[in-house]
Amino acid sequence: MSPKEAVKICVFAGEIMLTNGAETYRVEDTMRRILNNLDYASDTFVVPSGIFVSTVGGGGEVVSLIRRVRARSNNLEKVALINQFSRDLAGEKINFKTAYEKLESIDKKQTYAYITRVIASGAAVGSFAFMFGGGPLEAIGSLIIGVAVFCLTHLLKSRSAPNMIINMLAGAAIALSALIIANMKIGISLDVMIIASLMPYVPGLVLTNAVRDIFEEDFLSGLSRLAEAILISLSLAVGVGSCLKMWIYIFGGLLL
Amino acid sequence: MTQQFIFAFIGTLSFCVLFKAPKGEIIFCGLTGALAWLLYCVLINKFSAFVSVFISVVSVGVLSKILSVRRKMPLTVFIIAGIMPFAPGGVIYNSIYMLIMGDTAASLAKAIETIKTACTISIALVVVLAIPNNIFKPFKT
Repeated sequence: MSPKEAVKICVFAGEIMLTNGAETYRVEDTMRRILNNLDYASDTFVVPSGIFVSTVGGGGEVVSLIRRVRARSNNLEKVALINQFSRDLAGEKINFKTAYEKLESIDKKQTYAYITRVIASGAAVGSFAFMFGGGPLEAIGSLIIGVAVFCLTHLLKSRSAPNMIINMLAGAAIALSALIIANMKIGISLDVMIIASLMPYVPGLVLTNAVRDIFEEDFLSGLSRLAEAILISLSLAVGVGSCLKMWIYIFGGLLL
Repeated sequence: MTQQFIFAFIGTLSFCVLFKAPKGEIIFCGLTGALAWLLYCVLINKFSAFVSVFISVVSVGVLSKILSVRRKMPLTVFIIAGIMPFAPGGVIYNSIYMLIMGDTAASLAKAIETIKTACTISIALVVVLAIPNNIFKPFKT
């Protein structure tokens, strides 16, 4: 494989990992391993918003490639598959076309059906309501909210709305439906329902990964993830807060 | 306690579906999260929240290392599942919520709690990931 092709394979693999929620140091490691297995020394530099690779070919020519990464989501299966791909490259003479096709098939891989994810989002917030000290009523309430809000955010994402707007609307929808459910029956805890239903959207993992990056002395990606975590929780809190305030203005209290 | 275990299992497993973990692994992801949560529920009676989280996350790390060697999967798949119940999502939201509601003092307290929890989890992971891999070789299939 020529150095140009090797770098292309490496960046494509890195892009799949980064857009599917892998940590930056893992992306760097995997890309370095891919190029090493293709017999090229390399330097890789990855930040949450982009990939930089440079390598020197046999004839002394320098090849480098930059890729800007925008949309990011979570797909652990693709991360695992790319990891496997990079290991399989060792000791195997693979040509550019097969490698590229392999990566493309990983990139296009469908995982869970929409309906499975809808059920999972309901089950997730339902059981988290229990774990946060709620009873069966709160769990059922959160389950309904979880399913409804997942469908809403999925619709907004497919219309490619900005992330901040999606989070604000998700927060507002959660607060509104929690208020409606809490007012149907006295004694249902509003707080438990709101916190449990927010769990799929709050950036707990993002924040933990940010601190982990900083501890690994990867300050650049750590700080940018920290900013991401603050932005996400800010938009959620704006959504929830404005909805609660509006409810108080209109109905003159939480009716609890 | 059994109830907590079952709901932690369902909760973590469902979150792994949302994170699109590989299909063959979600049962193990759920078990990692549920066992860690069970340990936390036991420890919280005796120790402070941070000590309990620390010990639980260390156990998540050890369990994930064993599972990743045994199932030939990247470590992250199990780590993410295991720390899901402890990730400080609720507190960071609360902190920002109180900030925009004008309660600066409460917001600051929550913010510090958030940072403390995130640091506890991260230190636990750094400690446990520093264990050399060949200790876990006996678990290889």
